[in-house]
Amino acid sequence: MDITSRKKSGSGKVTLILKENVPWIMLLVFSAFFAILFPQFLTFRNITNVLRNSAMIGTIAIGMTFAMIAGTFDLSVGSTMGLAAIITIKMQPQTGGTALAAVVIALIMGAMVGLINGLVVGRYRINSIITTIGIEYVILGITLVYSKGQHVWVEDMYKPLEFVGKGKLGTFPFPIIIFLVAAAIGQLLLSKTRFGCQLYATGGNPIAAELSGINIGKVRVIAYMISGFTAAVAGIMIAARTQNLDPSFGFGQETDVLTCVLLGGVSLYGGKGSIFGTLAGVLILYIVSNAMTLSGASYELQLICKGLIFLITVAASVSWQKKGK
Amino acid sequence: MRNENNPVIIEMHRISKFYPGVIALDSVDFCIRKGEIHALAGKNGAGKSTLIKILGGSTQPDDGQIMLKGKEIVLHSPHDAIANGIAIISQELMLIQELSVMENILIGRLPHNAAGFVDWEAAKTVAAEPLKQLGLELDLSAPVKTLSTAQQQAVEIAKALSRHAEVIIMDEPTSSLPNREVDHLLSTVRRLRDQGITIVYITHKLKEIFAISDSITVLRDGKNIATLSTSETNQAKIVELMTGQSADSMFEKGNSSSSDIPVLEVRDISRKNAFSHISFTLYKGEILGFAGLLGSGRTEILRAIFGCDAFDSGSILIDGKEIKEFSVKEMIRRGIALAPEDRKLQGLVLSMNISDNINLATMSSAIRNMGKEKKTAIKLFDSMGVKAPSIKALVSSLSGGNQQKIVISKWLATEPKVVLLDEPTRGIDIGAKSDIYTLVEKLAGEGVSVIIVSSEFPELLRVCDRILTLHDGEINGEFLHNAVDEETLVAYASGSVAQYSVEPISKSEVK
Repeated sequence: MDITSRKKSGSGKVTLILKENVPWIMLLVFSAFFAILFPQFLTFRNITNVLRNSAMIGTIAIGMTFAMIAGTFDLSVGSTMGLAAIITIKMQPQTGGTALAAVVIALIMGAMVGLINGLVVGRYRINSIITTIGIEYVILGITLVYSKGQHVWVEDMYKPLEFVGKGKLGTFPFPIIIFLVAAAIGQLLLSKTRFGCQLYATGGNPIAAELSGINIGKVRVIAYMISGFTAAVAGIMIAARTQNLDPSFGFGQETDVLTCVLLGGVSLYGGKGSIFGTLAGVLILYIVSNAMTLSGASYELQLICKGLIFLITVAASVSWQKKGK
Repeated sequence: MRNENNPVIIEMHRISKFYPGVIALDSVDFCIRKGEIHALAGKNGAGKSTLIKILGGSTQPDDGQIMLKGKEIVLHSPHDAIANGIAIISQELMLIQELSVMENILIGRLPHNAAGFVDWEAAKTVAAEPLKQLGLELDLSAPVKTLSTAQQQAVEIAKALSRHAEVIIMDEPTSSLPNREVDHLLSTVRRLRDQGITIVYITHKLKEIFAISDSITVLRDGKNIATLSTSETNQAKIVELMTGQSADSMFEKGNSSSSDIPVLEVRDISRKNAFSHISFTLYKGEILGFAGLLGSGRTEILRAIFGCDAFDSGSILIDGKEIKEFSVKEMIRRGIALAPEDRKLQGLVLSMNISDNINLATMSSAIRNMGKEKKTAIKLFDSMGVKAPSIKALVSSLSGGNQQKIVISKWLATEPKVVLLDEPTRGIDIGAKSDIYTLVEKLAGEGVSVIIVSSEFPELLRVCDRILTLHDGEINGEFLHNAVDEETLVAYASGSVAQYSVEPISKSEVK
């Protein structure tokens, strides 16, 4: 008898599948609800619009999922994304050479921020919330010094770089492709590599992980580097799309990212979650804000709703985890 | 004494509980009489925990009724159970370490005056009452963290009494107590019984069951096998009921497979405040026991050998080669494995499934080989006789004995030369214990060397070829299993025998 399929009652299996896919069920319910409420919601134009808007925060959410599964927060991704975008524009990428340099420097910067976070949290065991909030401010400060606090812009951006933010493959905006590719790579890393398994173990029980020969400091450093790297990727996408930015625009964006990740079922305490879930979390947040726009709600009202969604998600996530124990 | 004339206080009738793939309780009847100490015995996974969780209101049965003094009650939550006078003292105590004894006893119910401030004088009087009932004197304002485990347990009992509990359920109350405190706890339990409190007592220790209980209910595979009067039965009979097999076969020492090829040589290692001048040699196929009490340095020595903690001086040789680099990863690579003392805290990742836990220490390539992992997991799952719906089940859903089997499976997957087992049978039942002894002997037969640390000395005598006694961080005695008895081991381990001056045993004697 194959023991992987040994006696599992039919109804038990269905509840298990439902349980594991709560974010996707929520997404479907919301979508159906909005489709009935707003006739323009389910149009191709609107859906691609939602997807394109979600691509930047979504890409960062992929990275943050890694940090969160390792049992640590990364609240520095907002400023990291901001600095990456400002670097990209300030380098004035009008030729192939400068564009390449801008992208490479921005990506290295993102990974380096992750390395610092990872070393402080992973090696020196300092609380990750405190550490990454601190780093968030440090990076904001560096960004302001670098830009002299001034608006930055670039005219005639190198076309292939501009394509990253504005281009379309057929009718499909390119940022969506980047987001989905990042998600696919992320899910492969989590479920098919040794690092992925060690990441879950590190977040689930760091003591047992260490006693199994896992270098949890190293695992956490890599998780943070992935998080910083994806923040930089998002920054480059935004720079390429707007080509004109306020230097402090990234600061505080991590709240949206965190909402997506938690909506997607990643545990606040580490050890649980998946990219597949995070993907649903990202889409939920963005269809809700899209629906609010369609309903004509003011920006102020949207902010209030966003804040409430964040609180409700955290509360639901905490009570869900407690039940799971 | 069990008195058939005592009125029934709680009657659980045809209680069933199903989990996906497992029937935890199968139409169980469980009847408790007022003022008795009723022991609940059974192997891990027999359904004891589920049954008391239902009685404590934290789990709801799928079928059946609970009658309290003849009236049916429904327990939706632990709160309902307390309101009905049923209290559970669980293995992990539910006290708030920073708060005082008094505040813990009265938590959520501190008396207050008209202005809404806590009335500390009244609180003192109310909190002192249950402690007096227990015959205990504790400083009411001392923070709980300053108390010993036994005292904390008493505070937990006092908390139950102050909530007018009539039935107190104690889940493995002695598993975390040092030996000398056990008698004290047992007399406290008797005192409660004499005051008319009904006690349900769950333990793996048969000795305790017979020392204290009036009646015994044995569960096996989710069924009530028998409810007996303690005075009319004996230990062998209970073991038989619990396991379904005769007791004799479980307590015989198998043949020694010890050889004279040294595998692990520990030479004079010391660490400040932990252990000093530890030297011994472990031979291929040998089962070596460390007899030591809590604080004897036994766990620290194993951790040092496994590379998780450094030591100040001395050296360690594996297969005659001195180890220069100490890390867990390196030691695993060299064939050392350590199954730690606390399986939930140190041994397993509860949020991961069985297969991932088993393969955690053996993933050699960056890209996982799923086919190989599945094969390894299934092989160990079957050969260890793990009880679970599948290798994809979360380990958090398994019973203690099954969890321990997963910890050991993880290390067997590394194909170790030396297995270090720290209290491998703590908190697991007699059936699973016997499985683990058999496994250790089988490993030794295959040429694996084993070190077992235990505070249950009969267990060491049962399974080891040679036993070292540890006291205060030093080895103070070395014995062959057939040349020593439990009393001698206790005397050495407790330090009541002076440093031994006997010549170390020669290898020819071991054989």
